[in-house]
Amino acid sequence: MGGQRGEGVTSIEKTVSPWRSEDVWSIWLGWTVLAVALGATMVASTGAEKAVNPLAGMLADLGGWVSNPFDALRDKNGASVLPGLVGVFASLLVLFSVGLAGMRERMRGFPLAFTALFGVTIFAYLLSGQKVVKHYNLEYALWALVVGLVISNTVGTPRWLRPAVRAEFYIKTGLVMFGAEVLFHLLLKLGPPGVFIAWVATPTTLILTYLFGQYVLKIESKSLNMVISADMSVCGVSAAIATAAACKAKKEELSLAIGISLAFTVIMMVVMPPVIEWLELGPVLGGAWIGGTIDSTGAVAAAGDALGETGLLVATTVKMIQNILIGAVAFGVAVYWVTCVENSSDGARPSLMEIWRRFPKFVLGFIAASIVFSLLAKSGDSGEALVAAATVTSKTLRGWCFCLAFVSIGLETNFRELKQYLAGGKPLVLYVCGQTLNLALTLAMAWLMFTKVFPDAAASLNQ
Amino acid sequence: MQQPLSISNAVSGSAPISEPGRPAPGVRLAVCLAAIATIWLVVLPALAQVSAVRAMIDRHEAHGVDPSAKFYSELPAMPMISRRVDEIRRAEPAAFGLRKP
Repeated sequence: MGGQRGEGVTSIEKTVSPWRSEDVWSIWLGWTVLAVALGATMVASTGAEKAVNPLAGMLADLGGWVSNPFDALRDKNGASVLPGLVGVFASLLVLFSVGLAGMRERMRGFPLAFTALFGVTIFAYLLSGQKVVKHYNLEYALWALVVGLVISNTVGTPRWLRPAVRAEFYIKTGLVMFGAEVLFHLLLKLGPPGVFIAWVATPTTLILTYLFGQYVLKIESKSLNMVISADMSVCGVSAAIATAAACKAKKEELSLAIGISLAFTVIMMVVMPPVIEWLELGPVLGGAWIGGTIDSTGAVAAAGDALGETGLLVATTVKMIQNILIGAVAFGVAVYWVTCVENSSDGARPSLMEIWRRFPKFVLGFIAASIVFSLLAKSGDSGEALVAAATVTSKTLRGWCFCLAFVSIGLETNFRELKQYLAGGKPLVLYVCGQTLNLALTLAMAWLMFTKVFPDAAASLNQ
Repeated sequence: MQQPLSISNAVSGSAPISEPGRPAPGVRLAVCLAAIATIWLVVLPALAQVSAVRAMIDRHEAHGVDPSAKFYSELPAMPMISRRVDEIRRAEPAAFGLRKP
């Protein structure tokens, strides 16, 4: 929020005009990107055979590499990604400069600091692009944190870099853009079997894990409990980011939740396929089990692929349906937090006005993007293709926003502060117990759906 | 209500840490960078040549699987998978508890 950086992933408000707040400006910026990308795609696609996004080539991610890091400067087709990187840098510099100006914050030093921060972010992206790292699901969030932590815990974060260390602003803006990829119509992709596996087992696991953390483990920080419960039950890093922002978790809590999730994701990605083969569950039931339990979407695809074509198809489709839950979870957590967790000092329930004042407004921008792009995708024959083409731009930019955010979090974190959250090993116990429940509940639901209630669906998918 | 970390704590936490008996901040940074360079330029490229690892990477790339994807929209194989699921569901909607369109 405007002018009050450095607290939680989102922080408590100061008495500034709501129009100058970080929440509102993250909505403006996110929606500007979405509107420009959609407008350009619509204009370029008029009369064309397929949807074309003329801005897609202007932005780029780094490519993959094995032994020569300079290979990352070329994409799969051998073209240089340097112009695309310059495009990303220029777009984000302009966007966030406008945002800071809109919030009436000091601009002095920001361009230089942002340039340096972007350089560090490129380095983190480069580390995550090494193919062994990439194919074991050790994604950029981890390396961005590590790079930031290395700097802050050795030479310290230089004072001149601090104007650009704005983790909350980058996360909120990235999340608003991210909303355009949360398309609600995908919920019915597999019909009722998919809904039951992803939308019944997952929220049940989330709620029970959170209650277990509160009442059995008695974890002091409710936000840490919620972020771990959500990233374990929904979809790993992306769910952790959205939930942490919605419940105003501390940066260290987000870092810890992501670290635990990535470690267990790698283990589950490697272990689950042989276990499924040993149990002779088959690719449909096994794929659904993988899709509903492994945190990260990419790791789900890798583990599903080990079961064959059908395993990949079922696992990724169940995960995709579960991914859509992220919008509902972020909104639900934000509402729960401002109404039930953030009680006033006398313990009284807040008034509606107070609830509105506390509500993280950027969540509304995220949900609105999701609804508008879901409706667009369902409009006419070319709606889905139009949305897919338009979101290429926002997908690239929100990836860089999240990476900038994680570098920023690392730059603001001290190893010693991280240690206190691991005291007693409660976060690890919470994750292990929650994941055990997730494994049991998802397997039971997938078995019920694909062998008892809709056995013909399993037969169709197996063909 | 929880007290979020204050900006003053965060900033002080990122100051150079000079403690008696520990190497200078610049030396610690150099050691970390050397470790990163060794792992990324020597260890990981060597691991990539192990046949099982190489086979896994090749298989993922051939099938459009990106294990570092954070959302379905980042998976190269997703559009193809989505079309295939639509075909299967359209062929037998009743099997999925859906009505014929």
